[in-house]
Amino acid sequence: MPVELKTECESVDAEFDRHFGAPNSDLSAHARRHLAECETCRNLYGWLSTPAFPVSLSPELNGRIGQTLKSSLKPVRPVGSTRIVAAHLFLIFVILAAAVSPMMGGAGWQAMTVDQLTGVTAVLIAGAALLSFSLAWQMTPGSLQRVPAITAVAILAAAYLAVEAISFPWHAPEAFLQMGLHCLRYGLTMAVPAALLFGTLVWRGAPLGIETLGGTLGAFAGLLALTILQFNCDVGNAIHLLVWHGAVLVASALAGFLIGGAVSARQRNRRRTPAT
Amino acid sequence: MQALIQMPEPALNTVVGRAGEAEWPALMARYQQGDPDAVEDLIRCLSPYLIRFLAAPGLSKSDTEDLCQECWIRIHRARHTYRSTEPLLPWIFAVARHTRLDAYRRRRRRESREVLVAEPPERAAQKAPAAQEEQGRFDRLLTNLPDSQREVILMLKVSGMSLEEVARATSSTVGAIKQKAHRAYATLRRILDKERD
Repeated sequence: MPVELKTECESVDAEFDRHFGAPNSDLSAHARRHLAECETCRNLYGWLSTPAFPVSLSPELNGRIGQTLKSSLKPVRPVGSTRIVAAHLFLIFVILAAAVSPMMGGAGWQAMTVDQLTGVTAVLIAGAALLSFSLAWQMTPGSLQRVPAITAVAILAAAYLAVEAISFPWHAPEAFLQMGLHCLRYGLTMAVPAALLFGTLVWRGAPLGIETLGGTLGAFAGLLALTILQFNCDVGNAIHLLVWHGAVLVASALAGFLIGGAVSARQRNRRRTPAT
Repeated sequence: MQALIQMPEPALNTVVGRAGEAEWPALMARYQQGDPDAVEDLIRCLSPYLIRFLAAPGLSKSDTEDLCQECWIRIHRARHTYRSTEPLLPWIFAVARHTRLDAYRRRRRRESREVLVAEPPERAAQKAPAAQEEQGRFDRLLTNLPDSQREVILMLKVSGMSLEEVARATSSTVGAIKQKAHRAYATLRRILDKERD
């Protein structure tokens, strides 16, 4: 097919897109002209326009499915809107961070300059809001996910690393391993109960991609642990923050993804059970 | 020249004729309230779409029907997550898509463990009526598409969903769906050209 003709054909593709889901719309004059000239596109248009053959469903199957569902039919309360669910998650995040941080002394809070505090707080809050929405989208099938979950986690990680690298001084770290391992252990210890709490809330929905949901949930719990850690660790060194505090986020997200994968595989392999 | 061209009618979006679609969210709301009549109506209205979507190359009719039943059980368990202000088909197809994916993975795993000990007997040749022949052609054309493109075309053509609705059902973006659809059109053009020659 010549290049010029190919470009013309592609312009008709856009026309096909416009037609799907837009009742009673007509083809533009340009598209009609092209279809008149191009047999290939006319064939495709013809195929796409041919009514799909109706599939008949056997009455037995209909009855069987109906019986199965009706045997456990109970009224259910629909979940709240995406915004409400996201707001709940975000609020719990903020309350936990605000309640636990002061209990632990807040040494990091006092060690940071105003610029550092502003930058870090902005990233942590924006990250929490983004992940709250991502979790709310994933809880409900058929939600329009404006930011894919993996992109949301990647944006958060990149923003956190960038702000730490820019705002904090790069010194040769003292007791790098010892202090770092202490922070990592501390962070992961907080991330586990946080993940369980958020997991309980998210499980009330009907998540479909459990691996991705696990990763996002892990990142959200890791972010809460990171927030508490950030305000309680007085090591204001970029290398320490990037490696060890960053590791809390990465390890939590990774663990969540792996656990999600295991849960998903288990669900898949389990024999079908009657509806509950 | 334009007048000589026989444009197929009706237009793309009307090929399916989603009869009574406007009532589906209300039916779903009644289903959530526990109305048994709404369950039957929904099964009757939506199962043909689901069967069409769940059917895959190499899957027998009874396997597809089993899959449809499994899909309805999942829909039943997740029914509290549907909001009547949202479109229904993306919600239904998101569940159906995962049912299909899980079944595909199960099948792959099972097939990898099985060893073929004898060739299966050939099916008795059936005299195909015109409708079956056309259905066969439809399936054959779709078989040539990669799975991700096939599901997009199925949702667009067979279920009459918009690009945004397909994006919702596949947890994707409109841009990504458009790209898949355009790739599918390119493949279909090649196949249709070959058929013509």
